[in-house]
Amino acid sequence: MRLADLQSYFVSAVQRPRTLTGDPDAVAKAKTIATGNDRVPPVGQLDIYREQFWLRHVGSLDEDYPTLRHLLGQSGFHDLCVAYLEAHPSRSFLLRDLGDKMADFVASVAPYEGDPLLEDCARTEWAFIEAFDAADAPRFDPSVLASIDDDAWPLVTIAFPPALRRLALRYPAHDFRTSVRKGEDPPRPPRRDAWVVVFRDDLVRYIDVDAASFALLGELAAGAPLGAACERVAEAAGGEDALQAALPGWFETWTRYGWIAELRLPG
Amino acid sequence: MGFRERHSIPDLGVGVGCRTKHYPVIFGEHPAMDWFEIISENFMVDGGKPLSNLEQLVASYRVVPHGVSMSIGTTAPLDRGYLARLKALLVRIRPPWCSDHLCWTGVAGNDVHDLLPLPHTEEAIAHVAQRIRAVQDTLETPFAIENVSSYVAFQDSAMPEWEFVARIAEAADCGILLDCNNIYVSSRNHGFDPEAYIDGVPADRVVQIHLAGHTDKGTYLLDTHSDHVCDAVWQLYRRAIRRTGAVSTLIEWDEDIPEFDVLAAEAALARATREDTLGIDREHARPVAPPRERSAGS
Repeated sequence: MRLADLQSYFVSAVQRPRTLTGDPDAVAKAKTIATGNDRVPPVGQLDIYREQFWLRHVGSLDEDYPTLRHLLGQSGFHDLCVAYLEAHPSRSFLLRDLGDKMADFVASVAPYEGDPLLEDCARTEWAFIEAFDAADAPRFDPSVLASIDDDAWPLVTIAFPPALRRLALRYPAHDFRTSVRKGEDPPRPPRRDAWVVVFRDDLVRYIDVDAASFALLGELAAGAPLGAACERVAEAAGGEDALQAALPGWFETWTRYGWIAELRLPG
Repeated sequence: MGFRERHSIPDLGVGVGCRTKHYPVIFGEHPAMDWFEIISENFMVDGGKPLSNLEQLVASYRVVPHGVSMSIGTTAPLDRGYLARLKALLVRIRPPWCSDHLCWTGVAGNDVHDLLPLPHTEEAIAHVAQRIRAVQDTLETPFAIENVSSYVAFQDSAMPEWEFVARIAEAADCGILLDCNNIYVSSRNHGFDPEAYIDGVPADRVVQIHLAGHTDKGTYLLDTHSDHVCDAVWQLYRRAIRRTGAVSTLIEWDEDIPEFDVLAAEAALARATREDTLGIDREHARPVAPPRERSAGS
């Protein structure tokens, strides 16, 4: 058998969720590939790799998405992993990337799509994974803020650290995650909108922000100059005056937590 | 001139695998340890704690990267993105060699994250050897392949595993990371003579030896790295170093990871075994290059 054909079949065999030993076609095919021995038949030799595949992959997703396991129970979570991995086999050499499509999956595939808490939990877990090993950003010098002329501020654009993640949640999945990861047994949280920023200083952390501040961060992250961004979020902030009053406090928070990587002025 | 000598591969002594569980001890107490092996992929990331921890580790210890995802034996094209990231890691830590497994981990676009064995065929030898040559050209660091544990024997295999490993290493002109536990596990699973394996590997190409524990699953042994090194593997280790002389040795422990002092004690046992074995049989010990001088800050 050509090496390419052997590898192609081997991969398809080990990704089957149920044992190969009960499938006559798999048993026959295995005899053409593996020798077996007096203790393990040919199909059993392939099945060892199949078992390890599922242990490793479900284990990895379990490590990354304990909130989903908590909500679905062990058996339900296993079913989710099987469905997810069948739809999204790993395309990365890093197991770290295995769950990168989990949030979109639970948001769009039955029976999971009817529960927005699952999506919120998956997005929150993934934000923490991404923030953990995102590229480092240079330390921002807050004294730069004082050096910017008043009339230049509307033209300022802001670069944020690669580790910064914004989460608009319908449930407090971030607090739920903390509780689950502490080994507690939290009940399903009640619905409550939350705007959360996940960031990294020495550790990956998060804080709740208000909706207007969250919206402004989003506009700025998309590349809008500060003036244009403020115009777009003024209504959500309660009007222009309220926004102007809130801005210094927001900037103080952003600089304190290291959310600003760089301020840029045109030219 | 043998591979180790040509590439000035040092004998680093006996080290252990660096695992996050032990960071508080390693960074807080700076225990004596000859060297650490890291899993390359854990540090092939963009930033954050993994890289700052690595910087701290490299500042205090000799560090050698060991990969699990190169998939040198796959029929899919070489993953150039993977090699670029690995190269960046090598530039960062400047190790005396690097290694990965003589295996494949998936096919194009479908990685099963396992160390899958290859059939011992002429096709596989030619395929893998030319890929290793390409990898070495890219990495510009001596590269070693590790024999894996296996649970399947292929109908197509036309030679014993040690001949397969030796032929590839010769054709690719690469080093060998000889895993004595993997030899033992596979010998039990497939019924071959592990001593013949040790004797069949070109000794001058062995740049490193792995020692680990495994799990008896009843009808087969599983390479779990979850226990002490067993007596039979210690015997193979002694046989191996009588042939190779003093080469860098590493204790792996990846499941049910014990406290650091247990791991350090296992390393001390390996060190004593090495000294005893080479002391009583020095005529077979071949000289190896002395450890490289460490550059400032490395």
